[in-house]
Amino acid sequence: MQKINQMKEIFNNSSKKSQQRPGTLNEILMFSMFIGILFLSTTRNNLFLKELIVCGFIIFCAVIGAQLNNKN
Amino acid sequence: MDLHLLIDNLTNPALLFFFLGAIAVQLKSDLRIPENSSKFISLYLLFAIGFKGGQELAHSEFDMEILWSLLFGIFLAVAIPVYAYFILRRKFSIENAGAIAASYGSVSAVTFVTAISFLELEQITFSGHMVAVMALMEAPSIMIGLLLIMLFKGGKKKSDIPLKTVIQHTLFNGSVLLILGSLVIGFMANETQAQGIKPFTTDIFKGFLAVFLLDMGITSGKKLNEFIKKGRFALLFSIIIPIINGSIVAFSSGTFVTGTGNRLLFAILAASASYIAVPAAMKIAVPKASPSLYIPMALAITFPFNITLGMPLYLYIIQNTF
Repeated sequence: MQKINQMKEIFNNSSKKSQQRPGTLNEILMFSMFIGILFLSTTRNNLFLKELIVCGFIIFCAVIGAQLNNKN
Repeated sequence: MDLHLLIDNLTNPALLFFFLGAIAVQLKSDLRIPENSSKFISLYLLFAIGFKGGQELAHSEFDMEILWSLLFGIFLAVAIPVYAYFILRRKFSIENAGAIAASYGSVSAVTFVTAISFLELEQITFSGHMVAVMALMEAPSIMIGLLLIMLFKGGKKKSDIPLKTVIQHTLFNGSVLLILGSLVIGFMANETQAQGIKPFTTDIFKGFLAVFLLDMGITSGKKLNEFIKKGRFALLFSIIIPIINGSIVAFSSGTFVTGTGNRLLFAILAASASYIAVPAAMKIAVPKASPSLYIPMALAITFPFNITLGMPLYLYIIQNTF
């Protein structure tokens, strides 16, 4: 149990550290998730592609917002 | 999305019990929650969340934001099934498209409860009126789904939908009645009276939620195996539509809803799909729609997506946009 808590703490610490850097793990994670879903869409006759582009724009705005917040 | 939010969410005991249930199915374990216990727990969750919402509502002052929130909730419950229907018609029959659209326009009370547990974990506050918003969003999409089916079927066999029974089922089905009733009772009860049942409504809530999610995990695990055989369109729809609805609502709700907690609850309500109230109504109203399609889509794909990746994603959007 203690080991699990330690692992959780290590994960949290590393994520906090990564947030202080400009190219953070959070953005990479989100980017990979989005690319994965985009890939699924393109392999299926561009299904929901327009809708996904709208979501991509929203997520992009959020990433920019997060970067600006980090700078401030 | 913030990695620590994702880790916090994925190590939430309630969610881990959900995975345990899904794994148990894959391991062909005989782990089961008795049907009556499961029914009792779902009633308990609706009762507790309604009562707590009523109490919160009693403590808050009535302002324009409550009215806007209620109207926005109804708007979502009407708009989502309409646009989802036209997307679904590319591949599915009128009946199936209508039933799935109604399911995605309506809301999942369990996803809502899990989102509340996530907000409590992150110590983010939310308003009691959101429970009323959730309850109000259950019924309109069922009506819209049925209207779409009736409209696009033209004159053909209109009579196979017993509208009176459907309206009765939609407005007074057990879960809607219980949550609205508990909300009113919670609103009427004074603080001393509410304190008397607090151990039941608050203290044991998370434990019951964990057991309920274990049951949901078992059910999802079973449905998932059947569902994978149905094709990729349904699978993609069940993942992409929640992202679209959740992201757009998370982004746009800031214009008239204040508070991160309320905005996240709106996003999760828009992203979730009903797998209790809608199937119950559709079974009666549209027997031709296939439950083996719309139940697994909502329960085995959309529900796990929303409670694992969805919630941290929507929160990230809310925290980093206006």
